[in-house]
Amino acid sequence: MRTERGLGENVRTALVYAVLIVIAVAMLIPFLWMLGTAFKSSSQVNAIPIIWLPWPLHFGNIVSAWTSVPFGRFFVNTFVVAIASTIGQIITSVLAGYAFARMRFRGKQVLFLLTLATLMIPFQVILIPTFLIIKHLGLVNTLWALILPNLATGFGVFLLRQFFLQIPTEMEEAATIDGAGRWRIMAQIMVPLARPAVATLSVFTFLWAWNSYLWPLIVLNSPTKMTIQVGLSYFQGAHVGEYNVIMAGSFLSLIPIVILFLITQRQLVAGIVAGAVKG
Amino acid sequence: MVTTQPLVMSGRSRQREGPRANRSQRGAYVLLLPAMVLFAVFTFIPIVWTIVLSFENYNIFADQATAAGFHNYSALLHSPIFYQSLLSTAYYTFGSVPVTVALALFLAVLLNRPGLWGSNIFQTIFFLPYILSSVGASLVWKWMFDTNFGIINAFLGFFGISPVPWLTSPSTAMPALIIMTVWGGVGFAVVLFQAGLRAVPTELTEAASIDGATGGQRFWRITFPLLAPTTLFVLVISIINAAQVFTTVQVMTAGGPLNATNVLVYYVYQVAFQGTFNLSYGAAIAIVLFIIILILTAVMMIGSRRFVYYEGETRDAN
Repeated sequence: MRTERGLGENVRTALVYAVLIVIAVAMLIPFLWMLGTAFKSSSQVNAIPIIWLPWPLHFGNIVSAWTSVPFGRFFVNTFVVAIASTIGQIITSVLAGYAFARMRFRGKQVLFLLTLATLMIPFQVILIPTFLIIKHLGLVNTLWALILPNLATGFGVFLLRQFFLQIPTEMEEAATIDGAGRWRIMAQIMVPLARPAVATLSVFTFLWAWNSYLWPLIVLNSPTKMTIQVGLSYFQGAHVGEYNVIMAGSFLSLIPIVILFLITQRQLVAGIVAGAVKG
Repeated sequence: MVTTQPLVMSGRSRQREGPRANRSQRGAYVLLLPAMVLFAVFTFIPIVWTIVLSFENYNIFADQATAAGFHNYSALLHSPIFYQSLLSTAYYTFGSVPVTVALALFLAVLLNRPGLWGSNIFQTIFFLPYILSSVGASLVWKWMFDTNFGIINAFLGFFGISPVPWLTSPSTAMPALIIMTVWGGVGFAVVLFQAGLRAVPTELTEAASIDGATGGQRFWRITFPLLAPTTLFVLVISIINAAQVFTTVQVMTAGGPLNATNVLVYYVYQVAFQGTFNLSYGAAIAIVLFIIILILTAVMMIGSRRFVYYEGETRDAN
């Protein structure tokens, strides 16, 4: 009886592994196909039957991707936007989150509801007037156009508020008795304690800045100002049909985010569970 | 601790009745100022402005607007492309979301198997496409769906299926986009389901298994009902995200062929920022999109009250 059940369990475990492995391989095929293509010569790309693994590897595509458009510039611009947005969001979210979690003031409920309301309004819906605001500020085709609307989000404020609410009040009380003011309590006790929430927020803001496409597509038009996704799109427009070169460009655009992902997977998962929505 | 907390609180509020109270209040407004100003300028003014624009005829080159009443909305109702884009958005959303959610639930249950080695590695692999699904991944899929040299038709060729003109035929373009979207979205839902499954108390399934319940019975009678809040949340988020798709469409099909994949957000982009720069008409489409999203969210929330069991809730006898 026991061995029979054990055997059944083993078969079932093997089945689970088989299914998981098949699906995992299927999920990875696009990346393998991209890598394979990126290292093919132009004659190998459209060869029939399909060449699955090119040999020798052809590095010319990476070089021509990097040199045909200012890819380096795209990376720098994206990093500038991502870092500036991340710093901005940390500041605005810590300050507002702390006020909502720990202070009493008139209009608190209304302001908090307004903060939650921002989560209900998708960016795609308010895209047009946001463009007009940026245009009236004279910021079209600048990186400020990408940074400014992303300096504060309802998600960030909400995330930090929830985190501050979980921190026991005893520590602040002790600090108050010791004569510390609000600002000192916030800077020296609350912010260090909120590090996990700040990490989650940073990773998400960075990821958003890296992957965002619609907004930069609308406000940027010169290649020297482009961020990576618009740059990649512009690049593929210059190489229509040359899939080996296009895949090399796609590969370049994915490297930084794969590295970020492998380092910060835990924060990403935590953020999604906390209710993050992809921008 | 539970008993001392209210005491401490009341002690503090008594202290606040003096001049300190005002100071701490003003402090709160200072802390809130940056976020609130940014919300006002980049969320609340734009949403009101979107509504205003949709009732105007705005010329971006002259920066002049004239009142237009319901003209933009009536133009929408007479536009075949608008109906096509409503249909495309619905097709895309209801084509991709159920498959994504069902596959994610299935994978999360498999990963939740006790003692499964390497579940972290699988989670990483399933999650990776979600992180990478922007222009780069869309270009990869565009190449995979290539009629003559793409890997998908090569694979189908093994089974003797002749090449499918995926992205160049109106009937297959949307299924292609949906396949790509399931690939990109499943990892996100897996993560949420895994968190939900961890919260299901194991005592219940163990007790049921002692009583002789089969694996299937344990899942459908215990785990699945307890997971309902997570499932609902995943559904709401996925539907809202799908209704706003843009990048994949713009890169892979540019709304074509013959508007077969012209979804609402792409249509907004097309009328407002390409060619005619008809921002007011675009604003009217955006408002329609907003109303659809609000209705979907409300329906889901009302549905959750009626059909979803939350822990700690006492159930009325049916």
